[in-house]
Amino acid sequence: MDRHGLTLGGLTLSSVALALVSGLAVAQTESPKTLAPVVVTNGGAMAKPGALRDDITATESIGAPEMGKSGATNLPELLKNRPGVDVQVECSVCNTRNITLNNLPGRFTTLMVDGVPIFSSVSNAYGLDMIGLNGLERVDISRGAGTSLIAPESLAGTVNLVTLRPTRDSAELDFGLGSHGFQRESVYATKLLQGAAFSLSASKQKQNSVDGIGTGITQSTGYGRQQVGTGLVVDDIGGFALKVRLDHLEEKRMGGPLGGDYAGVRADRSGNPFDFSKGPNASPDRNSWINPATGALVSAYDDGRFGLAQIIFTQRNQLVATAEKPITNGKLRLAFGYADHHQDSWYGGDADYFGRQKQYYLEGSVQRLVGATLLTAGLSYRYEDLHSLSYSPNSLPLPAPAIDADAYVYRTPGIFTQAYRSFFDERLEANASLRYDHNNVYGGITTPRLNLLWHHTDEVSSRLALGTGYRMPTSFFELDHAVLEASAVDRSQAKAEKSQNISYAWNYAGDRLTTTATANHTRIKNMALFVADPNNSTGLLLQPAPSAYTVNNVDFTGTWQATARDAITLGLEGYQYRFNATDFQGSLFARPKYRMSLALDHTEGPWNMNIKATWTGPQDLAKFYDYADNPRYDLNGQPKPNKSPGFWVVDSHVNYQWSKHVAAYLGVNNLFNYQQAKKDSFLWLDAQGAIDVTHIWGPNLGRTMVAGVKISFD
Amino acid sequence: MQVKTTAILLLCCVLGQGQGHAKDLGAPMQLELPDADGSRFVRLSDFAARPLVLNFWRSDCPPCLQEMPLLQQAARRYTDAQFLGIAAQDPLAAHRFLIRQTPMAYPQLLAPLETSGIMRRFGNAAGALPYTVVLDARHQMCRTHVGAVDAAWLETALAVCAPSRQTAN
Repeated sequence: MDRHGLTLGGLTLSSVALALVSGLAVAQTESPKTLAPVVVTNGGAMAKPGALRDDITATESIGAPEMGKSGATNLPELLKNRPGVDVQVECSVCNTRNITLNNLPGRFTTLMVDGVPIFSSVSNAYGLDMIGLNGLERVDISRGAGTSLIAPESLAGTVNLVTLRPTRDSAELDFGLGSHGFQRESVYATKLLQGAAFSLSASKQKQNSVDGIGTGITQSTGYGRQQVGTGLVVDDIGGFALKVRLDHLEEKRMGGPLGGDYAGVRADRSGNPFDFSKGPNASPDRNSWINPATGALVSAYDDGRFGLAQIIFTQRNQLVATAEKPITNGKLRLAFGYADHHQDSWYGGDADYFGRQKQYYLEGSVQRLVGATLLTAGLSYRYEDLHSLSYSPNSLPLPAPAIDADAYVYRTPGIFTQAYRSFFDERLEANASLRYDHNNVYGGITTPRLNLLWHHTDEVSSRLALGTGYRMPTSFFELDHAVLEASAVDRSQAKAEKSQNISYAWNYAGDRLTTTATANHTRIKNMALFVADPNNSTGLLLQPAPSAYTVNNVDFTGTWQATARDAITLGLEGYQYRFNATDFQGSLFARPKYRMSLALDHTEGPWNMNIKATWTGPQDLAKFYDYADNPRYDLNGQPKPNKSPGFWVVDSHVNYQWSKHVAAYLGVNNLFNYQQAKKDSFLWLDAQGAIDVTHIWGPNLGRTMVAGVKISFD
Repeated sequence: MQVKTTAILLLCCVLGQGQGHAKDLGAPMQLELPDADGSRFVRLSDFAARPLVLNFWRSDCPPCLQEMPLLQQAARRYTDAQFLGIAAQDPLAAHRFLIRQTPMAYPQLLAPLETSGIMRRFGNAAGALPYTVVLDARHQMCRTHVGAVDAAWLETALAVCAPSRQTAN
């Protein structure tokens, strides 16, 4: 400001401390009677690749308009193929997907709703696809450990879903149809009340299972899912600004055999409905495959459709509430989160598994300006449990169940404090925080972090972040499906997973060019693994990996407003993975060493067209999947390739604002129909000829088209 | 929990009622942004020797919408000064808003992909909206205002920054 000889109102941060008065509402309010004086843009209003929010933590945002243009129907679709961010499919017959930050395992990404961490390993496994985009103002992505004061378990970073505060009465209907029987209907409606706003969202979506090579085994699961949710924002209730969001989600999905006859598949337990002689490097015989150990065919497959099936029914109820009240020189924040997650699953080759999970989150914090320093102090309490019932083997009649084999109860009270201050006429901003949590199983853990932001000029800035995070390892099958068959899990040797992270981000925010370059180092110790329990032949041992897993990466994203209508975005990423493959027993999913993307966005009046090409470099399959100790073979008995090929994926979307009430859209994903299944089967054999479904490095869904209309009323 | 945002919000509680006064005339301000219909880039140098009123807004900012009719009237009245609106939001959202409006009395531009740079350059490090800047005929910073402007402020600002202005009756 002083660069131009200006002072806004003649005030500095320290003078603000003296002048602040409580009770001033600063929010996006609609009622003229309570009209707020200002709204803060936070710098990332445009939310384009390469742009950062004007926050001390390097945070990228995806705003509601960009969500609409992307054609994404849920969170994983929105976040795929962004620099430093991707979606990892972990299973070809169940489509478990995780959001990866800096190419670290997806379970280290913490999801939040309005800053409340209310997702867990269980909900991340199948719940991610159920997170719709209706009613969101934006999605904030922060990479690095300890990026959030209230989410210390985010070893890789956080993804925060920020709920929209409606500003007018409105209703939007969205009808879409697409490839593979895709069908989507959704409604989002808002109603303004005196000093409050109410929203209602509901959606229904389905898609058929897909087999692109004729084996009769899915490469992408079929699903049907429904969501209904309500939101309420009250601007002033006892001095608090209240935000509440309640969601109910349901999904049924099935992979392995094609179709959606769940009961029929569960009853079909003999014969061979599949053709193992189709696809690349297939078996010479349609009914069996070559045992690598003997070079001869194994016995003919005779487990019916159920033998390779994964049927998962999920139900989730979720409530998030935040309340903020201005106090003298600061504010008081209260937050509450609750989630109740049910998962009924039938894993044909392993077990019938029924999991139940509850989570609670409570937080209270106070922020106050003390001199020129903004201090925060707060308390939090996190509760997470898991209870289960599993039948293994899943033969009929059902055997005696294993009850709570993988159960846990975590209670984690925590205390945190933070100090924020600017120096050198606001050119340098510093934020230091420290929190202490005490877990009932893993004891006390202290996590510090430091963030620095230096404004070189009005347009150029640097951010440096040093942080640590920790995570209580959970014994859900995120780590290994073998837990489904275990009679018990011995967790006495497990340790909290810990990460250390250093991140640097350089940012330029010009009129026509916006760029961000980052360098990150993340080292994770005590990564949890399942191993055979020497003291229990049917049990498993949860223990820390003997060595650390380290990912170093650099990335660059730049968007150039080439013409008044056209913006071009370039993304470049490079990764170095340092780990001892033997220590991780093939539990890490393969990630690429390089990635590059080029996108063009054209806006002309009511038209918006965007096309994006993403190149994913080769992946070191031999190292990630630990071929040295656990070699993988194709169904013809030959070894799998050590590296995957690099490949391009091109996505394109067109939106047209027909009138002020009607918009139409057309999206084509994976335009050139690149599918891993046509190059390298998802199926693989171990050295003894046992079959598995998790050999994954490329797209599991080919070209898909979606077209639809959005009708809005306001 | 974004601490910087909180600090800005606290700051804006006061700044929302504040206004700035230029103490030191610096170099002429520069700006190059696409207009809202995407037909061209607009530069401040396109309006050589004219005082400028830059109004930063976004469609989901109630005080921005509150002051818009006043700015429309002022743009028609103070013909010697060039008014420019700058939408600090996604082009598609800005377009959706603008097609609902009666023809605007002055050009509407789209802010850069990341607004922090231009906001800081024009003296609004907090990124608060609405934000209005008056540049004199040499395009040097003259007056700034955070929050919705009123007729009196505009009258005074233009009297100081564009003393030879003409008004249309």
